[in-house]
This record gives sequence, C-alpha cells and structure tokens, in this order.
Amino acid sequence: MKIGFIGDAFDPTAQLFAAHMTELGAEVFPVHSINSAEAVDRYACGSTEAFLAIASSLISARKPVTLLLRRRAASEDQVEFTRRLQLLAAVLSNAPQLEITLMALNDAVAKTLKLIVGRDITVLPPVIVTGGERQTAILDAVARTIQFGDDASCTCDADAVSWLRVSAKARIVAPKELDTHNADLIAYANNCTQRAAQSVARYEPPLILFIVVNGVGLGHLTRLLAIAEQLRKSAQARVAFWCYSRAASILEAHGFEVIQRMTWQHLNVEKSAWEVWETADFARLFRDFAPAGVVYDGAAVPASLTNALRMVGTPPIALTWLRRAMWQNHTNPEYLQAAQHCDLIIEPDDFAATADKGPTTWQQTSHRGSAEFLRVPAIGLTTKSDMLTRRQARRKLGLQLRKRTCLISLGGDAFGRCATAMQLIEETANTAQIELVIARSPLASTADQDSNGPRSISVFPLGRYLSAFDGIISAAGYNSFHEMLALTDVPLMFVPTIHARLDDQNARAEFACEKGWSLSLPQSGVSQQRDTLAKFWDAVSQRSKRPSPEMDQTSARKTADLLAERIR
Amino acid sequence: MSAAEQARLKVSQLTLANDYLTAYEYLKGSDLTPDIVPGAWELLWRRVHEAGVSSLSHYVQDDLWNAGIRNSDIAVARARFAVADGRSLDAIDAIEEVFGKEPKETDAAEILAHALVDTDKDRATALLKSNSGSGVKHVLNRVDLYRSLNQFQDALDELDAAEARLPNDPRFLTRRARIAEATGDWETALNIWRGLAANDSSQRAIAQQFIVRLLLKFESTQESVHEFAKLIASDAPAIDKLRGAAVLNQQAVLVEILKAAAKSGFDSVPEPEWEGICRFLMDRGDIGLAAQIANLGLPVGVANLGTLMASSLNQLPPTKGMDAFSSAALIRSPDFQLPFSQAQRGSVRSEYQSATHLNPTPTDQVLIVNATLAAGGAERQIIPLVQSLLANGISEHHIHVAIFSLAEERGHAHFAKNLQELNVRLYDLNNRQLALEALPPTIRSLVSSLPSSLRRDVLALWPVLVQVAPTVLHGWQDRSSVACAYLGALVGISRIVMTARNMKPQDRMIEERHYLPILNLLKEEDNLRLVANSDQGARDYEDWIGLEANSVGVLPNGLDTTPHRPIAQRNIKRQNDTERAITIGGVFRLAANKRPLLWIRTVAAIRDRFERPVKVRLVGTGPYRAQVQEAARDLGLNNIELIPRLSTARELYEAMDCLLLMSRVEGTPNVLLEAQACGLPVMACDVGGVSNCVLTEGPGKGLILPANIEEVDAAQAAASYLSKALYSGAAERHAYIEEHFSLNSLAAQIRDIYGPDACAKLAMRDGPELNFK
Repeated sequence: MKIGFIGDAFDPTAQLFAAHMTELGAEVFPVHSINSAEAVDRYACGSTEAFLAIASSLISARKPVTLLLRRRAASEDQVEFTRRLQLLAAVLSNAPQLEITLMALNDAVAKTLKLIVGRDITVLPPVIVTGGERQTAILDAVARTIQFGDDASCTCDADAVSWLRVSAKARIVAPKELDTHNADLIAYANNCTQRAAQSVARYEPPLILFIVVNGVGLGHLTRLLAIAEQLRKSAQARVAFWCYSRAASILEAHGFEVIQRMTWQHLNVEKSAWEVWETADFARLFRDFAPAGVVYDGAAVPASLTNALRMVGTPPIALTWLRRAMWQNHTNPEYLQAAQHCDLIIEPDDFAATADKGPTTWQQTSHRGSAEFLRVPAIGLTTKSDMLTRRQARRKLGLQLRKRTCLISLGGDAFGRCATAMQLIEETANTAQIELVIARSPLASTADQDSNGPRSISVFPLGRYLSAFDGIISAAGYNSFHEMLALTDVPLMFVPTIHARLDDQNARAEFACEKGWSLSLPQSGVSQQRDTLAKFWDAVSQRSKRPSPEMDQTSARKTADLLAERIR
Repeated sequence: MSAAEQARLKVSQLTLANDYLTAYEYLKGSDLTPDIVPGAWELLWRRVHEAGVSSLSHYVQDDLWNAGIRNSDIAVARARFAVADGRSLDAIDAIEEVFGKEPKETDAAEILAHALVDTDKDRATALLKSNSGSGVKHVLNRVDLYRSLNQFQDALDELDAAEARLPNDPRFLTRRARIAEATGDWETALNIWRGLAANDSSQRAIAQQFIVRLLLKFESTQESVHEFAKLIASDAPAIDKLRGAAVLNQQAVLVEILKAAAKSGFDSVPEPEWEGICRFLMDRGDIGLAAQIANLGLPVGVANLGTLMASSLNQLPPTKGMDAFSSAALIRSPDFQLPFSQAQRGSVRSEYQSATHLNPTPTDQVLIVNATLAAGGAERQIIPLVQSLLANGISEHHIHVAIFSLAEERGHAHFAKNLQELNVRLYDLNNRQLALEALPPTIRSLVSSLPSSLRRDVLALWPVLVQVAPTVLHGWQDRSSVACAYLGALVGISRIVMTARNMKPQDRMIEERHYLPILNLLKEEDNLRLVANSDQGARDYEDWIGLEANSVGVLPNGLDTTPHRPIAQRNIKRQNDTERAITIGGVFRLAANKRPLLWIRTVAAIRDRFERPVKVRLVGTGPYRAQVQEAARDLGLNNIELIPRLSTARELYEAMDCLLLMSRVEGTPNVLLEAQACGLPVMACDVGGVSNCVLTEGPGKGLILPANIEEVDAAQAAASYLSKALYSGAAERHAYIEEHFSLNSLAAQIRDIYGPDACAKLAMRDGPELNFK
C-alpha cells in the first residue's frame, strides 16, 4: 500500500500519524499535488487545512483518504478553528463519493470534534516504538524545546527531531499548561507502546548506512571503512555506504555496497534545491531499506540527513555521529548543536588530545538532546597484524631491498600545495642519497603526476606497506598521524596541512615533536627547513629508531561492537 | 537587404516561432537600437503584446518610449501598465503626450479616466461622459469607472442601455450585483450572485466568493461556510479560493492553498495569475507570503517585485518548527515596519516638513478624520465633538474635518450638512487622493507595502495632513484612528488621538488585521492617546492591546439637548394620558447586529400582552429592510411605520412613547441618550455601554434586558415595565442626560485628552464657561 501524505512532512503529530500507517505495512511519503495517475493507493492528510486546500483534487482522484483531525493550537483563534471544521463537514457532505476516514489522537478529541464535524472519528491506535527504559523529558511548548532529564544542556529543538525517537526514549511532561493541540500530542506520544528493536529489524544482520562526506582527504572514509570491516567480520551488521567522496571505488573494492552521491558543488546547482532532493532521496532509502542505524563521520551533520530522519514515513533510525576532535580553533562551534539530532556521539581518541584547542574541548553545547557521548581509543584501519613485512612490502611496491627509501605522503592535493617544500625535500634527499617514494592519494588528480620526479605509488590502505620505508614524511591528518606513529618506528617528519576544512594538523605535529616522536617541517624559513631536513635524512641514513605511542589495535572492533550493541 | 530589413526579418521569424525572448535579446544585445531599427522593435512589441507576455511587452515598450518612438497603441499600453502598477501620474503623462488632455479615442479616454479616478474625479467623469465606445469591453470599463467614482446611477444607466442592446451578458449582472452591494442593497446583490452561481459556469467561482462575503455580512455564517465549501471543492482558480478563505478568516487554509498552488507551479495556476495572487496577498498585508512566492521564482510581476525588494523581504528568516510558508505567513504588513526606525522617522519628518514648509497655514489646527458621515451613531458623534471644540474657544477656521468618503450615493454624507452648518472646513478625501508616486521617497516606500485598505487611507490623508499641518490629529473610529496613528507617528504630530468605540473590532466582526499592530504603537509613542466612549469599551481595548489598566481614556458620547427639551416637557405632561394607543419606537440600522427581526417579534409580543393598543414606528434602513417588512406582515403588525431616514429629534421622537433596542452589539447608543433626553422610557439589551447610559434607579429608570433573550421573555418584562414607566419619570430621564452627557462635560474631557501643550497651542479656553452654539 502506497500512501501519499499531504501536509507538513516534518510535523511531529504527522510523524506519529504516518508511523501508524507504516506499521500496517504501508509506505508513506510526502506528495505535493494530486495526480490521479500516480502510483498512490490512498492519501493521508496531516491537517484539516491541508485537506481543504486540495479538496477538489482529492475528490476527483477517487482514492480513499485518511484525515487526522487535531484540536486547536494556542496561536489559533477559536472562531477560525471551529469554522474550519464546519467547512470540512460541509465539504464532506457535498462529496458523498469521497471515501474518507477521520482520525484523532484520542477518544476525547474524537468526541469533541465529532460534535462539530458530525461524523464518526476513529481514534488513532498507539504507535509502537522501539527502545528501552524511558526517561522524563520536559516540553517547553513556547520555546519549542525538549529537555531530557535534569541537565539543561540535554535539550533539543522539539521540531528538529523525530518524535518517534523522542517517544521511544522519553515520557514527556510539560510544566506549564499546554494548549489542546500540544497536550494531545504529548499524551499520544507518551502512550506509544514499546518493543525491542530486534523484533522489527528488517534484515538479519541489520543494515547500517555509513555516510562518507566529500572530504579533503580520506580520513572520514578510512575511519568508517575500519569500522565497517569489523562489523562485516563479526557479522553484526550489513554496511552500505552513502558516499559523496570521489574515492567510492575504494569502498567498492572492499566489497561494500555503495550509493554514489554528488554534492551540490559537483553538480553546480543551488544548495537549497539540492538539499530538498537529497532529503527526498535519503527519505526514500530510509523507507525502502529501513536501516537500523546511520553513521555519519564529519563536522557538519547535513540538514538533508536530519530532515529525512524526521520526515513522515521515515522509520525510527538511530543516528551516530562519529566525530573526531582536534577541530581548528576557529571552526564554528554551532556545528556541535547537531548533537541534538543524534542518539550516539563517538569521539575517537587522538594521540595529541591534550594539545586540542578546538571547540569540542571548550564549547559546552546547549543542544545535545538525548545523545549519549562515548570516547573510544584512536581508530585506524590497519593494525600491525595487517602489515606486510619489509621484504614483502618492498617487493610489492617494486622497491630495491637495500636502498634507503623514504615515503612522502602529503595528502590529496599535496603537489600543488607543497611545491616549494617538495622541491626542498627532493633536493636534500638527493644530497643524502635517499630515494623518495611519493604516496599518491586516490583523490589526487592525475595531472599532478610529474614523470620526471620521484617514483610514486598509489595503494590503499597505505598502512599495510609502511614497513617498506626507512623514513616517512607525512601530513598530520588523523589517520596518517596515528598510523604512521603507531605502526612504524622509523624516523618521521610531519608536514601539517593547513586547510579551513581540515582538523588542526599543526597542533598534532607540534605535539608529536614535543613528545620526541617526530620532527615537524617548519612552515617557513628555508634555512630552518634545511636544518630540520638534514637532521631527518641523517636519522634515515642511520636507520634510527624512534619511540612509538601504543595504539589500541582493537579500537575499530570495539567501536563496531558499540554500534552493533546500540542498534540491537 | 538593409540592416533594418534584416532585423525586421529576424524578429519576425523568431516571434512567429514564439521565441520572444531570443528576439528581444537579439535586438537588445546588438547595436540595433529602437532609433536605428524602429520597425523591428515595433514589430517585436506588437507580437509580444498580442501574445500577452506582459513583462517583456513592458520592457520593449519602455525601450521604444525612451527612444522617443510613440504611437497611440504604445501610449495606451504604457498607460495601462502604469495604472496596473499604481503609477497613475505616468499613465496620465503617456496618454496626454500622445492624445492631448481630452483624447477622443475611446481606449485612451478610458485609461486616462482610470488614472484620474483617485486624483481628479471631475475630469475623470467628464472624460467618461464625452466618450462612449459601444462594445462590451468599453461599457464594462465605463461602468467600473463610474463605480470607482461612486456614481452608481450613471453606472446603472450605462448598464440599462447596454443590456437593451446586448442582453444576457453575465458580466453586466456582476456589475449590477456590485452596485447593489455598494448602495446597501445586499439582498439584491446576493440574489444576483446566486443566480450567476447557479446558471453561469464562467462566473460561478467569483459569484460564490461574493456570496460567501455577503452571507457573512448578513451574519449567516453557516450558509457562508457552506457556500465556501462548494467553492473550495470545485476546480475554481486558486485566486478565488484564496479570496474566499480570506473572507472567512481561514488563514491556515489560505496558506495551504497557496502552498499547494506554489508547489504545483504552473500546473494548477497559469503563469499570468501569479501576479494577481501576489497583489492579493500584499493587499491584505500578507507580505511575507507574497515574498515567499516571489522568492520561489514564481512570476509575480515587476511592480510587486519592486515593492518586495524595497521592503528587503528577499531573505525570509525561518521560524522554529514551521515550514517556509507558515513561517512567511507570520511576516505581515504593517507589522514588519513597526516600530519605525529612527532613520525612517527622521527621513519622513524631513519630507513632511519640506512639504508643509511650502504651506503658510499656521499650525494651531485640529484635524479630525473619519471614514464617512453615514447615518450611524459614531458618525453622528462628530457633531458634538466639533461643537465642544468650538465651545472650547477654537476658531471654526482652525477645525478641519476630513472624511475618507462623502459619496452621496453610498449614503456617506448624511451628517455633512450638520457639519457645514458649524462652518468648519470639511474635506472629502475621496476626491483628493494622491498617486503613490507623488509621495516623497521614504514615505512612498513605506506606504507601497501597506495592506491596500490602509494604503488608500494613508494616501488620501497625506495631502490634507500636509495642507493643515495640525497640532492635534484626531482619528474617529478604528479605521481613521489607525491611519492617523500610522501617519501621525511617522511625521511626529504633537498629539494624536485615536477614538475607539465600544468594543474591539473583532467583536464587531471587523477583521482588519492591521489595526492591532498599529494600536500597539501606544506602547512606544508618547504623543498617542486612545479613548473609548464607555468604560467597558476602554477596558476591552486595554485587554486586547495588552495595555495597562486605565491607560485608555473615556470620552463619552455628547448630546446637545436643546432640541430634546421641548419634547421632554411635552412628555412630562402626557404621562397622565392613559387612554390612547402607545407607540413603541425603534431607531437603528436594519443590520444583523441590531437584531431587527428579534425587535419586530418582541414588539408583536408586547402588543399581545400590553393593556393599551400598540403602534410601531421603526426608523432605519439597511439590508434587513425587506425581511422586517415581511415579518411585520406575518405578525400582523399592520400599523407599523417603517421610515428609512429622519434627522431631527422632533421627527424621530415626538411620535414615540417609548424606545426599544434589541441590539446584539452596541456602544453608547445615541438613541438611548436622545430618547431619555426626550423623557421617554427606554428598554434595551445589556450589551456594550448600554447600562452606562441608561438611568438605572428612581422613577425614570430604564429597562435593561439580558443580552440574549427570547422575544416572549423580553415582551413580558417590557409590558410589566411600561405599565409603570409610561406614567412617571420623564423629568428624571431628561435631567440624567443633561447631567452626564452634556456638551459641557464633553468639552472638559476633550481638554484633558488633548493635553495641556496642545490646548495651549490651540489656545483652548480653560474653564467651565463654555460657549455652545
């Protein structure tokens, strides 16, 4: 049964109303106009005014209609409200051919409104929601916020979240007297029946959608891939990727289902229009596949995602925000308010956490809703056991076994960005008789390739091959930073990438330097750079060893277990 | 082939393929300007014009005009566009430049008359009289213009003549219905619209919309709702549904209709209709919704877009928990302008001062403003107000009364003669309206985005405000009060008085949504005062606006009792006459809120119970007249005198023995004051300020009936009351009115309301010795 929903597709009451229909096996989705030819079996209207506005089309369409009647909101005039119901009664009496079911949120509403409408009104049965024990949440109907428990920071915008999730987690109370409309809403939400998630999972193992942003590097993708691999390995979930990154092929190569998406910049279209399409596509996927959870890794949780999660017809889906720290200090802290949309926020640890000056360390978010916050050890894709031996790695990469070789891994667009530094590195490496191998990011443009320059390799994941090298010069992105430090003990130099959309690589590099784990190439001053490089090449030549921080090799698995546990 | 021929050929080919925009771009993007290839440009204009691509037609026409290429068709099209755009001065210029001041060509004469309707009614009339195109289009144009000029008989004459030649054109009937409504004959109007709705599918939607409105006027809400139910469930154009929803005050439905229309784009609403929808929204103050559809890229028209851009509404802030349309619906005009910024005030004040600087009139003037001088109680109270000002020592030359309409044929000039007799200056603002573009820039920008009713009033008020430059600007009744408050606050008039009536407008079924935000200026502006005519009225307005208790003053109705005294003396003497038939009188408009049918049934029930014969004298006119006559017949009240209009106290009250009022809504009813001043027993329902103005104790006390009462119970109480009241208390009643509602009392209250500064500027006399005419 396909049900076209007419009305405000994000309205809390409508979300619950639609959930009732989806429970009966229907697919509910918003429609904007009535076309008798479209593949809709019936229509559902979320409000009297929405019904009246297109009454003529609904009558002509000759398809059954379900209309949810509500009582008056505080902002509405009583005369206007009553007149609207009288109008409805008159329209219905003039259209006996229209098959319509009137519904209300409770018996009292049904009885009251029947007096005006003059027709029987069915009471909407309680919706069944999935979840555990409910806490108490306070609705402020004027400010339109919901506060979970006693902590004022555990607040969310009442209209920004899925009420299916809210009613699964909390019993809502209102300290102030509510208008009839809101009173009916929370009474209905509180009356929802609970059941365990396992009993409703559509797939076994359950499906989790991972969302990969179009990042500057591969950090988000790599972290998600590490967790996805573990989920697959333990058969705890089936993972599909919704991928904006150009490196989607990596995911496919790893055997995952990938939905390749384009950003508005890729398509060169208006962002607002793109968001509407993207929301609709997310919602369609949520309806069709009902994933048990969504995991997003990035700084700005997209509105298209959060809107789709609260759209009528979307089943209740847990949102996890995999949010690494080390944001640059100037990053807009408002991004953190997206916590209100989430069920779980996982922050992977950072070796340089004590040097973190970003908003995640100092911004007390006022809107974190009911999200649970967990910190896990730093996550990497490659563990020591995944690594090739030096010999295997060199052979696979076609490198001479004996020659001093240094890996240069400066990120996606390094050649354009670090041309001067590269020149200096090449020149000094040549003097030190050290062969350079450039790790080309799968995101790098082929135009960047210099046929006269050092040999380049493009492998993924690079971590498996790190044993091949006697020294490493690397950017200080999350993944590189942790893998280079934890998986190797050869001399290491960081060349932090400074980019508005990236994390605070400078702080990481300085921290590692202070700890004696690495060197850091000064950002300016050729003579200082030469000195640092000379020191570095000397260490490489001598095959010096450096201290390595320990990294929990099971972190990705632990995070995967956490996710699996939450969706069960 | 020459360049001109080539250009013409190219334009011809492109326009024949309906590719008007490419043709325009071809000419515009080249050096083929209109002065070089006028033929190609004219060809383009004609093709675009005939195809009805209005915006492009305007651009091409503008290019031609600016290049000095003018002909009759271009001039008429240009003028028509300017009129639609509210730029009547541009329209006048275009026509006069090509046709002269008295065009003989019918289209030109009509469009010129149209442009002159608001600013020069005499010339517009002369143009209509001297041109008489006989086609239906011309007849309809002329009828509509006569209607705009409030010359309904001329309009009807045109229709009679046209229908003799061209019978059965439903458009003539729609005009007849509108004229009937404008002249107060709602019954006829309703019947015509009903006929059209039933028999003519081309007029059905518009007819239904009018039926909805008229039924509401008759307070037949249920019927009105049922009529709208037919309209909304039909395939009528969106604009008719939107209008119907607005009439029934169904804002949420209106928003949803608009949303559905916008989402389906041109599937449900053809492209040219969006301009009208946008104008409709702006006219009713829904400027946020107008901006919303414009921001969605729907073709709302150049003029609307200009107004919206000038109002900086191209970025609408979202509201928590609302979709874009519901959020936009919260942005209303004039609310979004208020409170005025210091920059706006500074600019408008300097524009006002420059305008008044040209005017040598001294500033010790009072300007009183009202909607009409129709035969209503509130309108009548302007007379004692002016009398009191005169009695306070203000020269008659310094008192100005500006009325938005004194149209005789609408009955708007009922008390004009009384005012003229007081020798004060009387202005008919309907004849003095300013074209929007004649306003100085800042005030023009503000006014252009106002809802149409307020925009018209402000445009009409501006010239007289500039001319009089008053110390006190006194708005009478809600409509005039808010116009005065808006303009007065902007230009910084020292004292602005708003005079409310007995209860907030909503309770009188007046749904003007711009009243409240302007009344809220009371919280910001020290020079604003609001007064009501009863304690109840004052408290009702305080609650509605959210003002502190007692911040709204009371200016009771005033009565010059001179003409009532001899009637009272005669009635004192007649108290002993117990034999003759008594006459129960009523003086009220035959409108729903006066409950005329309850009144007539109550009188009949009194007749059945009272010991003396009963005669009935009902003075008043209105939409219920026919129904009252029918009810009187059915009830056997054969001796009823149903008199449309009387003016003097003697005509009204001399033949009565008592007065009965059964209104559902009242303020401080003048008729109760006047009847008591004549010594007559009065009976009225307890609504509004009735209990405040009826003597409630002693032998002269009146009968206060419950607000909601059946005729049988009312008659029972009345018969019992009259059996005593007819024989005593006449002197007490007269004395009560003398004491509490005299002009002396009113004059003192006015001094208090105007305040010492204004009184000093106006040289008002301070003391009890007042000189009444």
